[in-house]
Amino acid sequence: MSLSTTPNVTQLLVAWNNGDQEALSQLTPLVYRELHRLAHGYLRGEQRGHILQTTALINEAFVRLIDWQSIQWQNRAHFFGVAATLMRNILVQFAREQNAAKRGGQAIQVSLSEATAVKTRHNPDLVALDDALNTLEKLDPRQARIVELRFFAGLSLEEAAEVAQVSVSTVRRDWRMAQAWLHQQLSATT
Amino acid sequence: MTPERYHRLGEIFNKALELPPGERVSYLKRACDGDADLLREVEALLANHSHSETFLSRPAIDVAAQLVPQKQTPFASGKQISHYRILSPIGAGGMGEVYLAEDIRLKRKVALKVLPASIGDDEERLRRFEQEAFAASSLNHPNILTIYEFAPDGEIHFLATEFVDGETVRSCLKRGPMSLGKSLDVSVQTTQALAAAHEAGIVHRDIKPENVMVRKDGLVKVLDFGLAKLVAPTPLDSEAQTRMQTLTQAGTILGTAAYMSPEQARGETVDARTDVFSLGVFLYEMISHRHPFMGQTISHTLVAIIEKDPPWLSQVVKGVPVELEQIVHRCLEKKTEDRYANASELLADLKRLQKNLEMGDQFTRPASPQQSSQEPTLIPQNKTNENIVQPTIISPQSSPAVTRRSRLFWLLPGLALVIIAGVAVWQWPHPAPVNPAANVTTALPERNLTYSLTVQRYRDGKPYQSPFSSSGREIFESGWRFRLNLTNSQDGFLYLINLERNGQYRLLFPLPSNNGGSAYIKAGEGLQTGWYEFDKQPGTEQFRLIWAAQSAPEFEQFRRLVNNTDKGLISKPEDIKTLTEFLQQHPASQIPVNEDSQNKQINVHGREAILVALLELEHR
Repeated sequence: MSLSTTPNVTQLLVAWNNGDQEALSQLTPLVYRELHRLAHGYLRGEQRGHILQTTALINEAFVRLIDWQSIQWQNRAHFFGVAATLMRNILVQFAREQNAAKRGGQAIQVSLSEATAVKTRHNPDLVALDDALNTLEKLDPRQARIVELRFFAGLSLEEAAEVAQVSVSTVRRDWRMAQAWLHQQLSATT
Repeated sequence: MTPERYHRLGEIFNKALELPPGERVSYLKRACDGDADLLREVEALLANHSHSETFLSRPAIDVAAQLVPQKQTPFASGKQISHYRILSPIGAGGMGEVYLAEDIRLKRKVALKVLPASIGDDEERLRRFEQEAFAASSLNHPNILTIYEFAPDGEIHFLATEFVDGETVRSCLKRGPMSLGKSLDVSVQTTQALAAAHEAGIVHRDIKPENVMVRKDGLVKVLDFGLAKLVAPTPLDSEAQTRMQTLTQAGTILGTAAYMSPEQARGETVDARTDVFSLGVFLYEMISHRHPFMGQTISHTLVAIIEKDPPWLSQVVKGVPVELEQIVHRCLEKKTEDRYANASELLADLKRLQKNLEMGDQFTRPASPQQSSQEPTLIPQNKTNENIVQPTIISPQSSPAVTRRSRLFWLLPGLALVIIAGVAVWQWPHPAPVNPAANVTTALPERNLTYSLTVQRYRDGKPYQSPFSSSGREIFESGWRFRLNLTNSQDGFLYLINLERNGQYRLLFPLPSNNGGSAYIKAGEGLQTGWYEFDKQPGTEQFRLIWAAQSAPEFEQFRRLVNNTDKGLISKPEDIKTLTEFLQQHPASQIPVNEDSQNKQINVHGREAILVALLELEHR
């Protein structure tokens, strides 16, 4: 097996983390495929909100492609950290493309405040969220990081705590605050 | 907004949330100290908090998936695709929707699998899909689903196959354990199908209960032949490309990770012996109604597949013939060379066993109408400790003695068990330690435990104000005391340990002063523990609640340390090691924890024999 010579997802992630944009273009289709698969599942009326999906995707990359008896937790944490940022990057880009595609053809939406609030809660606008996260990064980088880990990488409180190397109660407080603040930002702009 | 102000805002926000609602207003006024803007900001944030608990609770990929433009809509009945008329939807597989349809020309029922648009768009995948469909259609075997046609109709690609009027083994299993006879029959037929495939040089690679159907007349049909090949690595591809393709089916991974062979899980090349391994998992699950490697997450499951030996079948089911146990465990060997070389070899052993059992059955049937006494029964975990030993590893076909023993076993189950156990104990004076409930099982009923905290504030060494209920999210003060209130709807054994700062543990329950010194709590009786006090050193305390279906020897042994000298402290390195290993095998529940914020209660539930809840209590 030529594990060392062929790029695998881990290496692609590392390369991308080091600024290699080509790696991103190789990783993006993987996430897009998963998106289509999920969307297809919704169409069939499968239950929504499988929190496992994102972690499954990332875990899968991790589990299959790393010689993981030799991997220490540090690397695992690092892996999830980079993967979370990657997911954010790709998913927000995807949302931008979809928004652009929708523009023009659609009728003007009448804004109803309650409808907007409910929509924000259940289907947050990923592009607006990304902007708000950028602001949050300047105010409290750790909170922004935890949002990436929880929302974009689908990690649990405990997993996020391990990756961010803080206590679970810290993650819980950060998450609670970030949730409230981001919700406020998104409700104000939509 | 500056980072400093945001930080201040956060402090007040979090502190306010930890206070009882009645105390918030006065606290906010005090904390904001006349800064009207700050007060307004905190109040706005608190208002948002009350609406935002579900905000961002669905992972981003889920949210993004809603944006995917939908090209394909389910077909209504009556719609015609090529020369097939859709009758009704049957279900959905990893590769697309499946409909019951009628072949208008041949006037017969077919199953029509319509490929999702995401595959239809991809010519390379489509080409391979077609190629695999051809490969599968070359397999002409009664136990393999017959493929009629693979064709495009305009933009739609579909696969027409034989229609099987029956159910998958998965849905059989959902109804409850299958009888030994039925399990064996399904195993033999499934293995027959794979033997034919292996002889033709085709590996299925995705054997699992979902892919095996049992027709109403009992005939078994193996599905998705060759389709799995599309998503599995093949040595012909470049490594990277293969990996991409394996990743595209993350959905399949969710379903099938549990049936992967160790070499598949590592992403290595696979051959017929991979199917043998998956068959082993399939057999194990049918016979015992529990999965040999299932963990709490996919990662745990895959680690178990790669590294852990499953519990012996006889440890989880009573009445399994020794030969069957040996057959199944030989399939589950980690090293490919230790397994059966292919399905034909396995089939020979299964058929021999089936014949032997049928002979025994003929003798017993007229005498004993109690068919059930011959069926495997689940053994409660832990109880296995005393009387279960590992069976001899003797190849059944090479030893007539074993065959004879099996028949005796079958005729006189109770007596034979005693004899075999007796002989075995004599042969193994030191049976290998059995790890109780090392594996999460799907067979056990769901267990749950609800807990909340009662906290008593202390000031100057005296109780101060009334005790309050808490779910443990607050930040406590050193010197405060708390006790746990538990409610349980099943019988169980409770252990409570605390991780001390130097890596030692302390047993906090059971204690002589509480519950008569016993860990046992009867269903519905619940329990309130004694008071525990936070020490003077600020930090996060880690308590673990262990809720076990059976008495846990790992903890029972430490009751000797509950005395005035040791004060429950578990300090010996070997004891710490025992506990650490136990906790690694039984990590705290992560997903199935429900928090009822209104009643300050936390509910932990799951199907494990041992549930572990981690309470992290922070105190100043």
